[in-house]
Amino acid sequence: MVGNTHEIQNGRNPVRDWFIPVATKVKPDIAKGSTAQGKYVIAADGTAYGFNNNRSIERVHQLLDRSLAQFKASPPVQVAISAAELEAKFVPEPPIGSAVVRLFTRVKPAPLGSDSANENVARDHFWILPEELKALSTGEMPEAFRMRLARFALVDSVRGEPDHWRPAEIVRAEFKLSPLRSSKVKGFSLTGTFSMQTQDLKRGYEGKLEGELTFGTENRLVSFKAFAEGQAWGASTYAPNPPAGKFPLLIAFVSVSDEASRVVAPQAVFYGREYLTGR
Amino acid sequence: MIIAMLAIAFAGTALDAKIAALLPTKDEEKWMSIPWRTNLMRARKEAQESGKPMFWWIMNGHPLGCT
Repeated sequence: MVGNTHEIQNGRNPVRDWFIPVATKVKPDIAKGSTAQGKYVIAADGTAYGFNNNRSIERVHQLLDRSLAQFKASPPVQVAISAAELEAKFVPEPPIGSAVVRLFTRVKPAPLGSDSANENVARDHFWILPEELKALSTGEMPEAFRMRLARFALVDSVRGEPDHWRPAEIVRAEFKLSPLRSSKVKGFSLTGTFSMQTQDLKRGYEGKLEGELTFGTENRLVSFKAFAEGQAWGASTYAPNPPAGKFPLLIAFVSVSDEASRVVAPQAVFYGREYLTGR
Repeated sequence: MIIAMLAIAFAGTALDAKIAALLPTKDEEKWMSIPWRTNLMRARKEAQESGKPMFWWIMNGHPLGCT
Protein backbone atom coordinates (compact mmCIF):
# COMPACT_ATOMS: atom_id res chain seq x y z
CA MET A 1 0.00 0.00 0.00
CA VAL A 2 1.37 3.42 -0.94
CA GLY A 3 0.06 6.88 -0.25
CA ASN A 4 0.86 10.56 0.02
CA THR A 5 1.40 11.79 3.58
CA HIS A 6 -0.17 15.13 2.68
CA GLU A 7 -3.45 13.43 1.77
CA ILE A 8 -3.47 10.78 4.48
CA GLN A 9 -2.26 12.85 7.43
CA ASN A 10 -3.62 16.27 6.58
CA GLY A 11 -6.81 15.39 4.76
CA ARG A 12 -10.27 15.34 6.32
CA ASN A 13 -11.60 11.93 5.47
CA PRO A 14 -12.27 8.46 6.91
CA VAL A 15 -8.86 7.28 5.74
CA ARG A 16 -7.08 9.85 7.93
CA ASP A 17 -9.44 9.14 10.81
CA TRP A 18 -8.50 5.47 10.71
CA PHE A 19 -4.82 5.65 9.89
CA ILE A 20 -3.48 8.38 12.19
CA PRO A 21 -4.46 6.74 15.51
CA VAL A 22 -3.00 3.46 14.22
CA ALA A 23 0.26 5.07 13.07
CA THR A 24 0.60 6.94 16.37
CA LYS A 25 0.89 3.63 18.20
CA VAL A 26 4.29 3.04 16.59
CA LYS A 27 5.26 6.67 15.91
CA PRO A 28 4.01 8.62 18.95
CA ASP A 29 5.40 11.99 17.85
CA ILE A 30 2.63 12.17 15.24
CA ALA A 31 0.42 13.31 18.12
CA LYS A 32 2.73 16.31 18.55
CA GLY A 33 2.42 17.27 14.91
CA SER A 34 5.32 15.34 13.47
CA THR A 35 5.06 13.91 9.97
CA ALA A 36 3.61 10.43 9.54
CA GLN A 37 5.96 9.79 6.61
CA GLY A 38 7.49 6.33 6.73
CA LYS A 39 6.95 2.61 6.41
CA TYR A 40 4.49 0.73 8.58
CA VAL A 41 3.33 -2.83 9.06
CA ILE A 42 -0.27 -2.82 10.24
CA ALA A 43 -3.23 -5.16 10.25
CA ALA A 44 -6.78 -4.57 9.06
CA ASP A 45 -8.00 -4.33 12.66
CA GLY A 46 -5.64 -1.45 13.42
CA THR A 47 -2.90 -3.40 15.19
CA ALA A 48 0.45 -1.75 14.45
CA TYR A 49 3.43 -4.09 14.32
CA GLY A 50 6.29 -1.82 13.26
CA PHE A 51 7.54 1.42 11.76
CA ASN A 52 10.64 2.97 10.32
CA ASN A 53 11.46 5.88 8.07
CA ASN A 54 14.69 4.46 6.73
CA ARG A 55 15.33 3.48 3.13
CA SER A 56 18.18 1.03 3.61
CA ILE A 57 17.37 -2.42 2.29
CA GLU A 58 18.63 -4.00 5.50
CA ARG A 59 16.46 -1.84 7.72
CA VAL A 60 13.35 -2.47 5.62
CA HIS A 61 13.96 -6.24 5.72
CA GLN A 62 14.42 -6.04 9.50
CA LEU A 63 11.13 -4.18 9.81
CA LEU A 64 9.32 -6.77 7.70
CA ASP A 65 10.87 -9.78 9.48
CA ARG A 66 10.26 -8.42 12.97
CA SER A 67 6.73 -7.30 12.19
CA LEU A 68 5.77 -10.57 10.51
CA ALA A 69 6.97 -12.51 13.56
CA GLN A 70 4.84 -10.31 15.81
CA PHE A 71 1.88 -10.67 13.45
CA LYS A 72 2.10 -14.44 13.72
CA ALA A 73 2.48 -14.30 17.49
CA SER A 74 -0.41 -11.84 17.92
CA PRO A 75 -2.73 -12.14 14.94
CA PRO A 76 -5.43 -9.50 14.42
CA VAL A 77 -9.16 -9.98 15.01
CA GLN A 78 -11.81 -9.80 12.33
CA VAL A 79 -13.40 -6.37 12.01
CA ALA A 80 -16.23 -4.93 9.99
CA ILE A 81 -15.22 -2.55 7.20
CA SER A 82 -18.25 -0.61 6.06
CA ALA A 83 -19.26 0.14 2.50
CA ALA A 84 -18.92 3.84 3.32
CA GLU A 85 -15.31 3.31 4.35
CA LEU A 86 -14.58 1.33 1.20
CA GLU A 87 -16.01 4.08 -0.98
CA ALA A 88 -14.39 6.96 0.93
CA LYS A 89 -12.47 9.34 -1.28
CA PHE A 90 -9.21 10.82 -0.02
CA VAL A 91 -7.27 11.60 -3.17
CA PRO A 92 -7.88 14.87 -5.00
CA GLU A 93 -9.38 14.12 -8.38
CA PRO A 94 -9.05 16.22 -11.53
CA PRO A 95 -12.13 18.05 -12.76
CA ILE A 96 -14.22 15.86 -15.04
CA GLY A 97 -12.99 16.11 -18.59
CA SER A 98 -9.38 16.86 -17.65
CA ALA A 99 -6.39 15.21 -19.29
CA VAL A 100 -3.42 14.02 -17.25
CA VAL A 101 0.20 14.47 -18.28
CA ARG A 102 3.10 12.68 -16.55
CA LEU A 103 6.37 14.52 -16.05
CA PHE A 104 9.82 12.95 -15.83
CA THR A 105 12.54 15.32 -14.65
CA ARG A 106 16.29 14.80 -14.64
CA VAL A 107 19.50 16.68 -14.09
CA LYS A 108 21.20 15.42 -17.20
CA PRO A 109 24.06 15.03 -17.30
CA ALA A 110 24.53 15.20 -13.54
CA PRO A 111 27.78 17.14 -13.01
CA LEU A 112 30.71 15.09 -11.73
CA GLY A 113 31.04 15.30 -7.99
CA SER A 114 27.46 16.41 -7.37
CA ASP A 115 25.30 14.72 -4.75
CA SER A 116 24.04 11.30 -5.91
CA ALA A 117 20.43 12.47 -5.48
CA ASN A 118 20.98 14.49 -8.65
CA GLU A 119 20.95 11.21 -10.57
CA ASN A 120 17.33 10.54 -9.62
CA VAL A 121 14.45 10.66 -12.08
CA ALA A 122 11.58 12.69 -10.63
CA ARG A 123 7.94 12.01 -11.49
CA ASP A 124 4.87 14.20 -11.21
CA HIS A 125 1.55 14.76 -12.90
CA PHE A 126 -0.01 17.82 -14.47
CA TRP A 127 -3.72 18.25 -15.10
CA ILE A 128 -4.88 19.97 -18.29
CA LEU A 129 -8.30 21.28 -17.36
CA PRO A 130 -11.36 20.91 -19.62
CA GLU A 131 -11.66 24.63 -20.38
CA GLU A 132 -7.94 24.68 -21.24
CA LEU A 133 -8.34 21.71 -23.57
CA LYS A 134 -11.18 23.50 -25.34
CA ALA A 135 -9.02 26.57 -25.90
CA LEU A 136 -5.91 24.58 -26.85
CA SER A 137 -7.91 22.65 -29.44
CA THR A 138 -8.48 25.93 -31.30
CA GLY A 139 -4.82 26.93 -31.16
CA GLU A 140 -5.32 29.39 -28.33
CA MET A 141 -2.90 29.53 -25.38
CA PRO A 142 -5.02 29.93 -22.23
CA GLU A 143 -3.57 32.26 -19.61
CA ALA A 144 -4.24 29.82 -16.76
CA PHE A 145 -2.51 26.99 -18.63
CA ARG A 146 0.51 29.20 -19.31
CA MET A 147 0.82 30.22 -15.67
CA ARG A 148 0.17 26.74 -14.30
CA LEU A 149 2.74 25.18 -16.60
CA ALA A 150 5.37 27.72 -15.54
CA ARG A 151 4.57 27.63 -11.82
CA PHE A 152 3.88 23.97 -11.20
CA ALA A 153 5.54 21.90 -13.94
CA LEU A 154 8.75 23.71 -14.89
CA VAL A 155 10.52 23.16 -11.59
CA ASP A 156 13.41 21.09 -10.19
CA SER A 157 11.88 18.16 -8.30
CA VAL A 158 14.79 15.77 -8.79
CA ARG A 159 16.00 15.65 -5.20
CA GLY A 160 12.66 16.02 -3.41
CA GLU A 161 9.57 18.15 -3.06
CA PRO A 162 10.19 21.44 -4.88
CA ASP A 163 9.25 24.96 -3.89
CA HIS A 164 6.92 25.82 -6.71
CA TRP A 165 7.21 29.25 -8.31
CA ARG A 166 5.19 32.17 -7.03
CA PRO A 167 3.51 34.33 -9.69
CA ALA A 168 5.98 37.17 -9.10
CA GLU A 169 8.86 34.78 -9.77
CA ILE A 170 7.73 34.15 -13.36
CA VAL A 171 10.03 36.45 -15.34
CA ARG A 172 8.99 35.04 -18.68
CA ALA A 173 6.65 32.22 -19.79
CA GLU A 174 5.91 32.72 -23.47
CA PHE A 175 4.31 29.73 -25.14
CA LYS A 176 2.45 29.53 -28.43
CA LEU A 177 0.71 26.98 -30.60
CA SER A 178 1.13 26.63 -34.35
CA PRO A 179 -0.94 24.28 -36.52
CA LEU A 180 0.78 21.03 -37.46
CA ARG A 181 1.53 20.57 -41.14
CA SER A 182 -0.52 17.45 -41.50
CA SER A 183 -3.83 16.76 -43.18
CA LYS A 184 -4.18 13.51 -41.25
CA VAL A 185 -4.41 14.82 -37.72
CA LYS A 186 -5.62 17.98 -36.08
CA GLY A 187 -2.87 19.24 -33.91
CA PHE A 188 -0.45 21.93 -32.93
CA SER A 189 3.20 22.31 -32.21
CA LEU A 190 3.99 23.97 -28.88
CA THR A 191 7.02 26.22 -28.58
CA GLY A 192 8.24 28.76 -26.12
CA THR A 193 10.77 30.04 -23.67
CA PHE A 194 10.63 30.53 -19.93
CA SER A 195 12.56 32.11 -17.10
CA MET A 196 11.72 31.83 -13.41
CA GLN A 197 13.78 33.00 -10.44
CA THR A 198 13.41 33.87 -6.80
CA GLN A 199 13.68 37.49 -5.74
CA ASP A 200 17.04 36.85 -4.08
CA LEU A 201 18.25 35.18 -7.33
CA LYS A 202 19.38 32.11 -5.38
CA ARG A 203 17.14 29.74 -7.31
CA GLY A 204 15.93 29.74 -10.88
CA TYR A 205 15.25 27.90 -14.11
CA GLU A 206 15.36 29.24 -17.65
CA GLY A 207 15.11 27.49 -20.97
CA LYS A 208 12.88 26.48 -23.84
CA LEU A 209 9.89 24.24 -24.37
CA GLU A 210 8.86 22.27 -27.43
CA GLY A 211 5.95 19.91 -27.85
CA GLU A 212 3.03 18.61 -29.81
CA LEU A 213 -0.69 18.26 -29.12
CA THR A 214 -3.09 16.25 -31.25
CA PHE A 215 -6.85 16.19 -31.02
CA GLY A 216 -9.50 13.72 -32.15
CA THR A 217 -13.22 14.03 -32.66
CA GLU A 218 -15.08 16.52 -30.48
CA ASN A 219 -11.73 18.13 -29.61
CA ARG A 220 -10.73 15.22 -27.40
CA LEU A 221 -7.00 15.31 -26.61
CA VAL A 222 -5.35 12.32 -28.24
CA SER A 223 -1.77 13.04 -27.34
CA PHE A 224 0.32 15.61 -25.47
CA LYS A 225 4.08 15.35 -25.55
CA ALA A 226 6.63 18.01 -24.71
CA PHE A 227 10.22 18.53 -23.69
CA ALA A 228 11.72 21.32 -21.63
CA GLU A 229 15.43 21.92 -21.44
CA GLY A 230 17.35 24.64 -19.73
CA GLN A 231 19.65 25.67 -16.94
CA ALA A 232 18.55 25.55 -13.32
CA TRP A 233 20.24 26.64 -10.14
CA GLY A 234 19.67 26.64 -6.40
CA ALA A 235 17.93 24.42 -3.87
CA SER A 236 14.36 24.11 -2.63
CA THR A 237 13.51 23.70 1.05
CA TYR A 238 13.06 19.92 0.74
CA ALA A 239 15.25 19.44 -2.32
CA PRO A 240 18.71 20.34 -1.05
CA ASN A 241 22.17 19.60 -2.47
CA PRO A 242 21.81 20.74 -6.06
CA PRO A 243 24.91 20.74 -8.23
CA ALA A 244 27.05 23.83 -7.83
CA GLY A 245 26.18 26.77 -10.03
CA LYS A 246 23.93 26.25 -13.03
CA PHE A 247 23.08 22.73 -14.17
CA PRO A 248 21.13 21.18 -17.07
CA LEU A 249 17.53 20.35 -16.10
CA LEU A 250 15.35 18.40 -18.54
CA ILE A 251 11.63 17.63 -18.26
CA ALA A 252 9.63 15.24 -20.46
CA PHE A 253 5.83 15.48 -20.60
CA VAL A 254 3.69 12.57 -21.81
CA SER A 255 -0.10 12.17 -21.69
CA VAL A 256 -1.24 9.13 -19.69
CA SER A 257 -4.45 7.42 -18.62
CA ASP A 258 -3.27 4.55 -16.38
CA GLU A 259 -4.22 3.88 -12.76
CA ALA A 260 -1.38 6.00 -11.38
CA SER A 261 -2.70 8.97 -13.34
CA ARG A 262 -6.07 8.52 -11.60
CA VAL A 263 -4.81 8.04 -8.03
CA VAL A 264 -1.69 10.20 -7.89
CA ALA A 265 -2.54 13.88 -7.84
CA PRO A 266 -0.01 16.48 -8.97
CA GLN A 267 2.43 17.51 -6.25
CA ALA A 268 1.18 21.10 -6.40
CA VAL A 269 -2.48 20.22 -5.94
CA PHE A 270 -2.20 21.19 -2.28
CA TYR A 271 -2.16 24.82 -3.48
CA GLY A 272 -5.90 24.31 -3.85
CA ARG A 273 -7.63 26.80 -6.09
CA GLU A 274 -4.29 28.31 -7.15
CA TYR A 275 -3.41 25.05 -8.83
CA LEU A 276 -6.49 25.33 -11.00
CA THR A 277 -6.22 29.02 -11.82
CA GLY A 278 -2.48 29.61 -11.85
CA ARG A 279 -2.71 32.65 -9.56
CA MET B 1 5.53 -2.35 -18.53
CA ILE B 2 4.08 1.13 -18.89
CA ILE B 3 7.53 2.63 -19.41
CA ALA B 4 8.29 0.03 -22.10
CA MET B 5 5.09 1.01 -23.86
CA LEU B 6 5.96 4.69 -23.60
CA ALA B 7 9.43 4.02 -25.00
CA ILE B 8 7.95 2.21 -27.98
CA ALA B 9 5.48 5.03 -28.53
CA PHE B 10 8.30 7.57 -28.60
CA ALA B 11 10.45 6.06 -31.28
CA GLY B 12 9.97 8.49 -34.16
CA THR B 13 10.88 12.19 -34.28
CA ALA B 14 13.68 14.19 -32.68
CA LEU B 15 11.19 15.28 -30.01
CA ASP B 16 10.30 11.65 -29.42
CA ALA B 17 13.99 10.76 -29.03
CA LYS B 18 14.51 13.51 -26.46
CA ILE B 19 11.51 12.27 -24.46
CA ALA B 20 12.53 8.62 -24.72
CA ALA B 21 16.01 9.44 -23.38
CA LEU B 22 14.48 10.83 -20.21
CA LEU B 23 12.13 7.95 -19.43
CA PRO B 24 13.04 5.74 -16.44
CA THR B 25 15.20 2.70 -17.14
CA LYS B 26 14.16 -0.79 -16.08
CA ASP B 27 16.35 -0.51 -12.99
CA GLU B 28 14.72 2.80 -12.11
CA GLU B 29 11.31 1.16 -12.31
CA LYS B 30 12.04 -2.06 -10.37
CA TRP B 31 10.04 -0.91 -7.35
CA MET B 32 7.05 -0.36 -9.64
CA SER B 33 6.96 -4.11 -10.32
CA ILE B 34 5.46 -4.50 -6.84
CA PRO B 35 1.64 -4.58 -7.12
CA TRP B 36 1.11 -1.58 -4.83
CA ARG B 37 -2.42 -0.95 -3.62
CA THR B 38 -3.48 2.69 -3.49
CA ASN B 39 -6.75 2.56 -1.58
CA LEU B 40 -6.32 2.09 2.18
CA MET B 41 -9.74 0.80 3.00
CA ARG B 42 -9.79 -1.71 0.15
CA ALA B 43 -6.29 -2.79 1.15
CA ARG B 44 -7.62 -3.39 4.68
CA LYS B 45 -10.38 -5.60 3.29
CA GLU B 46 -7.95 -7.54 1.13
CA ALA B 47 -5.51 -7.96 4.02
CA GLN B 48 -8.25 -9.27 6.27
CA GLU B 49 -9.54 -11.69 3.65
CA SER B 50 -6.05 -13.00 2.88
CA GLY B 51 -4.92 -13.19 6.52
CA LYS B 52 -1.90 -10.97 5.91
CA PRO B 53 -0.61 -7.72 7.41
CA MET B 54 -0.22 -4.63 5.27
CA PHE B 55 3.10 -2.97 4.45
CA TRP B 56 2.42 0.74 4.16
CA TRP B 57 4.77 3.22 2.53
CA ILE B 58 3.60 6.79 2.84
CA MET B 59 5.78 9.64 1.79
CA ASN B 60 5.71 13.43 1.50
CA GLY B 61 5.03 13.27 -2.22
CA HIS B 62 3.25 10.16 -3.48
CA PRO B 63 5.64 7.20 -3.97
CA LEU B 64 4.06 6.44 -7.35
CA GLY B 65 4.47 10.00 -8.58
CA CYS B 66 7.58 11.31 -6.92
CA THR B 67 11.34 10.87 -7.00
